[in-house]
Parts: sequence; structure tokens; C-alpha cells
Amino acid sequence: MHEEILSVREIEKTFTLSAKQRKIEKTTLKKKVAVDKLSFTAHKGEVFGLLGPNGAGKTTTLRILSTLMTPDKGDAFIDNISVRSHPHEIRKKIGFLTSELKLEDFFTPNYLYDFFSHLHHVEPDIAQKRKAELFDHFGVSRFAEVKVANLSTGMKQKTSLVVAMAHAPDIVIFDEPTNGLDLLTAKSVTDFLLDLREQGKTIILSTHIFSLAEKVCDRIGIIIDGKMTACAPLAELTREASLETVFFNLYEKTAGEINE
Amino acid sequence: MNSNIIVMIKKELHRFFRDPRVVLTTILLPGLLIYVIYTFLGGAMSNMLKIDETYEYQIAVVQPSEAFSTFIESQSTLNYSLETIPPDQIESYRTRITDEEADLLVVFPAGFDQDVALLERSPVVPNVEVYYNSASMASGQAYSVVLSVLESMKTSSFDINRGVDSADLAPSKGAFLQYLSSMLPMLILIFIFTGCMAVATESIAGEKERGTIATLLVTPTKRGEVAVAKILSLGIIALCSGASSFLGLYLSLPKMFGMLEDESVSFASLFGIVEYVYLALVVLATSLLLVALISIISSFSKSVKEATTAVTPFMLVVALVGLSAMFTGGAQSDVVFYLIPLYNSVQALAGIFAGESSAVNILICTVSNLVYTMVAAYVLARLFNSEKVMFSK
Repeated sequence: MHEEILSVREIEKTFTLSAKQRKIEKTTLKKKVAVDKLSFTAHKGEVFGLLGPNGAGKTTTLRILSTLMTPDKGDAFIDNISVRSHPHEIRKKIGFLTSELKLEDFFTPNYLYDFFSHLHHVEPDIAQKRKAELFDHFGVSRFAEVKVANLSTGMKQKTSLVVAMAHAPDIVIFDEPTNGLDLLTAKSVTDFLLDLREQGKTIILSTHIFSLAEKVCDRIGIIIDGKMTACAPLAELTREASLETVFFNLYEKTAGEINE
Repeated sequence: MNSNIIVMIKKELHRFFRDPRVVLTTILLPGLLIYVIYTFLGGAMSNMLKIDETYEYQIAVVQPSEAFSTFIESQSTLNYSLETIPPDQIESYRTRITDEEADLLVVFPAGFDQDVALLERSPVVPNVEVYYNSASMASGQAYSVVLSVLESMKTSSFDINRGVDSADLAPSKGAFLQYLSSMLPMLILIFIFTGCMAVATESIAGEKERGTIATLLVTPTKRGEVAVAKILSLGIIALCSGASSFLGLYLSLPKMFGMLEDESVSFASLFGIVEYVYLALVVLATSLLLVALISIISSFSKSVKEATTAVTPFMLVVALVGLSAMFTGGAQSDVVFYLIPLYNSVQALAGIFAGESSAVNILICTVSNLVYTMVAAYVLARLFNSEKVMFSK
């Protein structure tokens, strides 16, 4: 077993719902528990998948890990560094990619890569070498000088990927990495995740796509209503049934009903 | 300066200055619009303020020169009443000019014609004194015409207003200066504010709306660095916008004040290098403060539209503060006034335009505004750190 690189310890996060949100969620409750005493660990070089339905708390968990949010209670540690007390140090170690993180339309992939490399204090010669590799791998070189505004969704996703990898982070956090992508781009992202695993990077990803989880994850954590309902190696979870069956069995047991 | 701050400033400026539409609307248009509007207004005002053609100018002469009488009779510009008064009435006539009951007083020294004729043998160059009131349009025009008459007499050698400190008998300062010190602070404040508002709402709320600020916040860049970079880059852009507005104002003012064409008062002559330095300091510090305050308001908004709506009441407050210069009758001298944010800028600008600026007050105004900007940058950094503010739905 590789050494532990991520340890999430009983994190909790509660949001206050605005009147508008209460109306959308059809609830009278003013607070919503997004993450409820969630704990899990990830080891160096493994791909850990957070599987769950929409609103289960996956994105909130990843936002906490990427220091965009602070847990109300509990803490998470990356390389024994607390996300709560040393967010600045954590940001140096992680690459974070989510559909909510956008790139500015006005700039080209080339400019953005250089910009984020600089913010991560990557040595210029290393940055250029890495840029050439990443741009070639994802075919970004073809549109390196085209403004993001004029790129297709797939091209934008590829640009976001290379920008997130500009500082060669030890841990890569992906929130729904293939969401909204066409089949070809989704495949290139999946292949990239496998590449990263080959390189010994640790990947934490959230998804609701069973096939993606089965293809790339070493271990799976199933989150339902902010709670970790199962957390085990993929092989162990799927010993007797497919991941999809395991998930829906757990969902029925935990939530009591499935929204059709 | 920290390299992260520099690279973020470069990015902001790159985005701004490489976008022709934004440059056009934020920098070129304000100056151009002001120039066009004020020039148009100037034309309208000069018609409104035109002196009635039947107006009889009240001019008094002490010990009139024969040559002057001949020259002034030959000019056809003024319909005037020329009165000769004894030297002991000079003071009372000057008071009448101040009170706008009379328009002009020309004082020739005793024996002016002989002295001019015998100049080669006399060591003393005769001096003619001309008194007027710049606050009165008629007096200003009479002064202009009489000055040209005296200039045309200058085949003979004599001086005009040599050693006279206050030929302008306007009550305190001329109409032009009064206007400058009462109106310009508000106009400048509004111009700067408009420039700041356009760029700051876009840069803060726009980045939130597009989701690009979060991309920046997951890098190891400190929130304080992001806040300082935003404020400095937006400050530079706002300054360019303010400079454009100021240029438009500078070029249109002479047209607005047709009276300036007589060269008796020129905008440039009111301003020395020191005044320009004062102006630059105050405008710079004010721009940074306004940008910081608008950035804070924008950070609470989810979209540019929402931010623009949220900033509008603040714009009204700024306009009201700017208007205060019209009621204070010049710049306040008490140091305390130069510690009040925004009001201090208005007072400092009023002082500069009234020719009454004090280095200490300008310094206090500049430093205090920079301190307030730093406090605002700190607040903005805290807001960037607040998930409630940055990620609220």
C-alpha cells in the first residue's frame, strides 16, 4: 500500500438557503447540510472517485479540498498539511478542475498557460518544456493562439486541463471532468486521467458516470445526502454486483426512494 | 513589487487595452463627448451671455492722453461713455468697478504725452494703469478693447499696469476661477467615477459572473495580491479614462468661456507645474480610492448588471459630495476636512482651481486617500476569501 496523501476527517458543511433556493428545492428549511461528517483517505498514486447523485455533496467536498471553501467542522489534510489552516500551501500542491472554473474568453490558451505558470512560480524554461508536452498531448498547439471565446467546448476543456496541470501538481482534483463533453473529448480526458495515474499522480474525482468510475478509479466513495455510505476499493465494491447495482442498492437503503 | 501582482496587472491591462471596443467606450468616448457637449454648451452660453448691443460701457479716464482719446474714438467696437475724473476719485471709481456699476478705469500719469514725447531724455518710462472686473462680462470686454487700443498706441514707449498687483477688481476671484473651483471638482469626480465604475464592475462582478475569479483563487496567489493587482490595474485604467475626460474638459473650457479669448485670463496661466503635480496626486489617490470602493460593492454582486445597479446609489453620493464645493465658497483651510474620504478630494481640487491650494492639505488628502485605499484593499482581500461572497447563488 502506498503512503497516505489525503486524509479527510469528519468534515461538515452547512449552507443557509436563500428564499429563492428554498423555493427551488421546495423546502421550508433554512439550512441545508451539504456534507455530513465525511471521512475518507486517498493514497499516493491512486485514483479516488466520489460517486453520488446531484446535490449529494461531491462538489462541496472537492471545493473544501481545493480551499475554495472552509469546512464548518472537521479538517482535511494533504501531505499532512491542513486545508483549514494552510490553504496557501495546499494550493501549491493541487490542480483543480471543475466546469465551474472558467477561463477568460479574451485570452488565448498560450497566454493563459504562461499566466498560470507564472502564478505557480514555475521556472520559465521548465514551464515552456511542460507547455510543449501538454499542448502536444492534448492537441492544444493547433489552437494555441485562438481566443478562448472562439474555441469549442472540447477545446476549452482541453485548455482548462493543461492550465490546471501547468505546475505539475501532486494531487489533481477533478469535479465531473467529462461533463458536457463530446465522446471524443471525453475519451481524451479519460485517457489523460489514466496517463496521470501511470505517472504516479493522485487523482480525486467526482462523477455520476458509472463507466468512468469503473474505468479509472482504484477506490470509490459513494456519497448520498452528504454522507459517505460506502468507501472501498473498486474491486471489493463490485465483487458481487456491478457498481451501478451497488450504488442503487445503497441509495434505496439510504434515501428510501429514487427520484425517477 | 511582487511578481504575482505585476503579472496580474499586466493581464488586466492586456485584456483592457487590446479590446478596441472597451478602449473606445471607456477612454476615447468620455473625452470626446465632453469636448463636443461643452463646446456646444459654450456656444449656447456665449449667445446667452452676449452683451446687449445697445449697452453703454462706463469708462473713466484720469488725466487722459490726447493720443488715447483719438485712438479710442476711432474704434467702433464699443458703444461707450467716456468720463474724465480727477485723481482723487480713483478709489471710489475702483469700488464702482468692483460693484459692477462701472466697467473700466484708465489712469494716465500726469504729463503722459510730454513724457512719452521726451522719453529719450527721461529715465522714467510712463506707466498706464487699467482697472477692470473679470467677474463682469462687460468689464472684461471693455478691458480687452482698451488694451488693444493702448497696444496700438505703442509706437510710443510706455508700460501698462507695471507694478500693479490687482488690476482685476473682481470681489475675490474672477468668474472663471469661481467656476473652476466650484464646478470642476464635481465634474472631475464624476468623470473618474464613471471610468472606475465601467472597469471595476466588469473586472470584479464580471469575473464572478463568468466563473473566472475562482480559477484565480485556486492558485497559490494570496488574496491580498489579487486585491492589490485588481485595484492598481483598475486604477490605471480609471486614470486613463479620467485623463481623457480631463483633456476633453481642458480643450472645451476656452470655448465654453468665450471671454478667455481676450487672453486676459488663460487656463494655462492659472496652472504652474506645482498645480499640475497637486492635481495629479489628488486625482491619482482619488481614482485608487474610488476603484477600491466600487470593487468592494461589485464583489457582493453576482453579475455586472447587478453590480451596476448596486453602485448607482454610491454614484449619487459622490455627485453630492462633489457639489459641496459649490456651497463652501472655495477650499476649506481646516486640516480635518482633508481627512474625510472623497470630501477631501473635492476640497483639494477646489483649492487647486481657486489658486488657494496648500501643500500640507494636498499631502494630507493624498496620503489619507491612499491609506483608505489600503484599508479597502484589505477588505477586498477578505471578501475574496469569503465563500459566502464569492460563491453565493
